[in-house]
Amino acid sequence: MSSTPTTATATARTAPGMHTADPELEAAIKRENRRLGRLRRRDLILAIATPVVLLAAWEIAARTGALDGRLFTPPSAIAAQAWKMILSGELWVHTLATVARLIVGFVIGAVAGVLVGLVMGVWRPVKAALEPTFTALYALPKIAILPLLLLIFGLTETPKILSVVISVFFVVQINTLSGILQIDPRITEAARAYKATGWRLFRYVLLPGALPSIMTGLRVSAGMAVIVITAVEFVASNTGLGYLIWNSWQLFQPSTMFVGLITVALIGALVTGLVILLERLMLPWRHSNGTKRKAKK
Amino acid sequence: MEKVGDAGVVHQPAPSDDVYDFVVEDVSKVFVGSTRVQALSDIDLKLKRGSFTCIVGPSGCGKSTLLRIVGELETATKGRVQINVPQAKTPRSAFVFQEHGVFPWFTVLQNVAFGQQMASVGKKEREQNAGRWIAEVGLTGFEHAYPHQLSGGMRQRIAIARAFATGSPVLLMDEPLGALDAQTRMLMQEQLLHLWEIEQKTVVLVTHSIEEAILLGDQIVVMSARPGRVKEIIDVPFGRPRDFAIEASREFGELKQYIWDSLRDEVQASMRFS
Repeated sequence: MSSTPTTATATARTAPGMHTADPELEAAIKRENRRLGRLRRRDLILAIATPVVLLAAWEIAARTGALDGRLFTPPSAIAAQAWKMILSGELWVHTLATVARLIVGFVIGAVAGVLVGLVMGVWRPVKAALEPTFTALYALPKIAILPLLLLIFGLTETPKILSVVISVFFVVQINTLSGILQIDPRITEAARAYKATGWRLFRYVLLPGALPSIMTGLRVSAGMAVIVITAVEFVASNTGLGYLIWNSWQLFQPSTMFVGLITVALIGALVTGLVILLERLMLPWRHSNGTKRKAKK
Repeated sequence: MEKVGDAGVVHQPAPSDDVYDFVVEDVSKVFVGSTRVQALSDIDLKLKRGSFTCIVGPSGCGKSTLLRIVGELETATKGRVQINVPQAKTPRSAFVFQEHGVFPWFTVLQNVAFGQQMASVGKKEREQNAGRWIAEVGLTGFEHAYPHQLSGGMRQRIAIARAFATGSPVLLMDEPLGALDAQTRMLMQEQLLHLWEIEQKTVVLVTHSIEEAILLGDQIVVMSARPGRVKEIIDVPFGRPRDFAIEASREFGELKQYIWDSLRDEVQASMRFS
């Protein structure tokens, strides 16, 4: 749709003509559509085949002894172990603990990051006061302050959630701020020319203008939040998937460890997928087949 | 700058063709930054109500700055602009920018209705009005499309429809057709002529096309290289309504040659700057 930059009137005038029945043209269009459909199906099959083949190879290698079965539990055994852990409820307990920390930490960090970023973008003195400090703190590996948080709050939920909050906050705040600052000055001038001021300028121009960058911040920080919570649970928790993975190393239970790894990977994919979905809902104007378009052209 | 609004102005009881919407007196503009740039120097200009003024001049001569000062987006460093346009709910001047002036996150309809939305016009009324102007610029059927789904010419028509739909008595255009291909540009010029003839707004158009200035304008302001001064003000001898047929006339060719002669030295001078 946006591929050919035809002149305006030409498009407007020839578009209805596209529907006139020319059997030869229609047949050619159908052939082209079928060809594209075949290509899409082939891509899908290949995408699914790769992990299936790898898993099969792993299974065979582990069973024939080409891989050390004590370290690389064959996929079938991992599945059996997962099933056992689901039935006993063990997997649920750890998954819920991780997911709860992740959600609470992510939501608090993201909301605070967006708010602070927006305020910094709109009020110059706030930006002047906070930006150098925040930039310095951004460079600090967030996981490194976990011991301090443990010192302050003890072995409670608070330091775990706070680690996530802090990691998410800085990424979202920096992306939100740069989103506001990167708005094309010609756009803000147009807004000024049409007398958009105060709340309306913010609501209709600055916020939508910064939104793509805010979404990038959310996507990046979602992935980071999963890393941080897993690392925190390695050392400072006796629940959660991080704990499960770490503990099964200490007890030498590779099958349990694999179950934990796969679950964390699934959570990571799910969280990222949700943020991408949110992005599609929030930024319909970014996607060429935006939901608000009427089938016309 | 001293802005004199409606209240501070003595309305002259003279005939209507003596009413001036803008009187620019002795305006200079200096941009202060790491280096000082004098953009405008001692500009005097009167804009008659309902007239179409075109500004031509070498690039960097301050044409856009002058337009922004008239439209209150910029303030003059020295001098004053007398504004005799009554201030209503809608802004006095509606702008059309060269490019990037439409909001990518709004649909065509939302973009065109934006001026009235900022003037607190109700949703139903402003969308009805926007729909009328969308039809006027030939974008019916694309109300719910986003700008990036449209061609450059169509996006520019959104900007023009938005300016008209705002309902301001003054229209300020900064090279609105500059980025378009030659054919689309001709069509849009015709459309602008048509729209202006039915609406009779006070229009200032900045352009780098001499032909466009003659085709559209009542008066043409020729500006000098930086710092921009008014070099010459030329009254266009063609009547209304106008169309492209005048381009074939001898007078048109002579006027074009005359303006180019006046501009040539200035363009050369501006090239020495950069």
